[in-house]
Amino acid sequence: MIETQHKQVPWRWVVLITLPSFATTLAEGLSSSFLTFTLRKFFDSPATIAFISSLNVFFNVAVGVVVMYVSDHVWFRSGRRKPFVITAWILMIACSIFVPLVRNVYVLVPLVVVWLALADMSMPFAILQQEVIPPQQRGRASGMAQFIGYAYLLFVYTIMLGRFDDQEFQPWFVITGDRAAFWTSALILAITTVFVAFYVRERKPVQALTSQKISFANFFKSVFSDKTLWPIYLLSFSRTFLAIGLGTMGTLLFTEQWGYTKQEMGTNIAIGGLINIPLTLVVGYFADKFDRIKLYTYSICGNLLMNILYYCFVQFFLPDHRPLLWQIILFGEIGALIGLLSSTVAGPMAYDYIPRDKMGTVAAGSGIIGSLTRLLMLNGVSLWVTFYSKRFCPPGQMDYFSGYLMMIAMGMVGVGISLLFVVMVRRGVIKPYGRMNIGTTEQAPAT
Amino acid sequence: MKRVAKAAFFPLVAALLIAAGYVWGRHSFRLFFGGERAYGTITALLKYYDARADLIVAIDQEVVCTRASGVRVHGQMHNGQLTAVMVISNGQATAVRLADKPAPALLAAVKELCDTDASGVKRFLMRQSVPSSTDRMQTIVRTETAWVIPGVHGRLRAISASNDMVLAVATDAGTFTRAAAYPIVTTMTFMMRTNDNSYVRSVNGAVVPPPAFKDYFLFERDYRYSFRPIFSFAVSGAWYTVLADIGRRMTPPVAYPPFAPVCLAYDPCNPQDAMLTPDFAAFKKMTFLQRFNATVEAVFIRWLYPFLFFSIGSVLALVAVLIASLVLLPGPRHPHRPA
Repeated sequence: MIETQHKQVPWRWVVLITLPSFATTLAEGLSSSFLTFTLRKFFDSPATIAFISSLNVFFNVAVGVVVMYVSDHVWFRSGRRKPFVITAWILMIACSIFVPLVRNVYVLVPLVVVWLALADMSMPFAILQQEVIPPQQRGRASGMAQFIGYAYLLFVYTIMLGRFDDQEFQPWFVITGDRAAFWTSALILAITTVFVAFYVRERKPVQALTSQKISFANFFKSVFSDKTLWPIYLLSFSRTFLAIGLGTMGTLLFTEQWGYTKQEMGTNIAIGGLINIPLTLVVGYFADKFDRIKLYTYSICGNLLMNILYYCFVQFFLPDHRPLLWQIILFGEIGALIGLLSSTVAGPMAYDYIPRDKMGTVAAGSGIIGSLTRLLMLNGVSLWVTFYSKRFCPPGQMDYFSGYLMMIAMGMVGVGISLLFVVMVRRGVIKPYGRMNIGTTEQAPAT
Repeated sequence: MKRVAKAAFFPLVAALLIAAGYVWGRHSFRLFFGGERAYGTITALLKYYDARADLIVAIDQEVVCTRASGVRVHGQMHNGQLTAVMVISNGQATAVRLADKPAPALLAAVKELCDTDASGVKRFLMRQSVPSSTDRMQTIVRTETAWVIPGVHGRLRAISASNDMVLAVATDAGTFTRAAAYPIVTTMTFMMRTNDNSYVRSVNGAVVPPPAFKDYFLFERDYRYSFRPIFSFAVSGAWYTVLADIGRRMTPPVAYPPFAPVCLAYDPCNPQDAMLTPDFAAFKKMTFLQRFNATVEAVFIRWLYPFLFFSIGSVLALVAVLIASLVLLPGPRHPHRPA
């Protein structure tokens, strides 16, 4: 029996508690490309598909954050995280079984909405994993989790995505690729549920928060009332602007507008992801060697420039406005390298300006702001694509690539806000509380 | 009891999944590794719509490209094979001799236009219409005629064929013959100058109303349609025609395009027991990315389910070993190890 709250645990425990990450990543991952294609069966409007898919982001805040907060303050017979996780997974299994079978949009949409909400209800599982793995073993556990992430990437994008429309005719039944994907996810999740329910035991913490009253008003007040944290929230707001992609429009751009198969799309994503493994190490080296704020400024500007270059290349250089696979990979990798650099630098850089005693609060606040901004932006991109296509394309045709214009515009806003942050830092308006090793209750030295 | 159940759960599930993978893939593994290999042709396609299907028994494609100089290229294909290519210049028509394989670029272009979908044709036109070129392409007219036996329904019992041509199919509901086949003609016109395109479809001679903009055959974008190939091959002079056990929604399987030569494996004692298999020799001619995608497509359309069962079963077997080892060999880090 694997247990929480031990000072050291066998490495085999670490492997066993890390393996279920594959199940959770797979279940979560199906809500991107697979869900887009599932919804495409019923909806022609990209805005509708994007809206339903983006509910995932909404539930991150509305369900995920709330459940994680509540799970800190309760205790049941079987623990404080497990009841939420097990309940969510059992219901998710049911949803995963039924989603590919549904032939009626009025059943599909509620089912998908519930499924997305449940995926976020199971978020305390990540905390449960950290409660099993003691701090000194978390580094290697994180490496294992990365490895599982790459295995997921290969499995889903190289093998499963291209099978979405395939059919196998057995004497008594026909099975399609989308059913195979959702049911495989359900099977793996079912086995994981049994594992967590019967092989993992939560021990009651000595210093629990269970006696404290759950107050969401206090939670939001503590997160948003401190003015010293507002610049950090502004930075997180701008980072979301910079990191926003085409979302579901990207999937449709690849398959419907450019005419690539789902297999080609999946391979492209998987190759990109695998090239990123060594890139992450290189970028980590640079992030530690150079001035973070300079590196961040250059990388966000570079990111924006890459998007502009890519748009111009496809729209004005290629006569058929359709890049070849190697061109997509090349531009994608250069963009990913710059994006990796900015995201690797941005995290530690932001923490340089957060008081040590406010790190958890800022993480929660940034999560809420980031999710809400992402929700609005993803829907904004799809509405823009719809508007642009109606205005400039022949009837019935969609130009998903026009979403890049919106991305570039949002990138400009993001760069503007980020540069404002940098200027405020340079002028000493924002103080590096994190580097000074003090909390907000202490007096910051004059700079 | 609870302890026994917990100890037995993972080994049992792992064994079950590996066994399920074996049962699912047993027949195809036996044919692939123990059977004979041959090449055949996709001779017909069943296009399903709910419980009914149309049987596509032949397809003719015709493409006419017009350049700014007035030069026209006229190409014709029948069941995936180029049958005629003609260049018309200054009112004079010159037939291209296909047997000599001249002008490979021209033939490749005609074949690409016949094989690709509507957006592919449009992209081709855009690529060939660079403003700087004095002889840029201006118009492409593509006509596709699918010969269809309509309304096939009921469980398929037999396929009647002559050499590589399907003549009739017999189902629980009756016999559907080639004599009942009618043409579904889809004409698409793309004009670069006006950036305009039009689609007209006629079924058995009568023009059908929208959604006629959807191509009938290759490029259906409706998830309710699915395609299942019928393939034929010869063994010792005798022809066999088999309904494939794999298919695809919206388009025919990428690895097994319509009327194309295909690789298959069969049981020499019972050639009717045959299945489509990946043609690894054909993949060698492709570029790296194409080869990778084609291999994954062809291998996993055939063996996805055995692969899923085997791989999940193997991981669970590893989990079972780890759990057992924790009980038998707790190790120095174990919090509850016996003193």
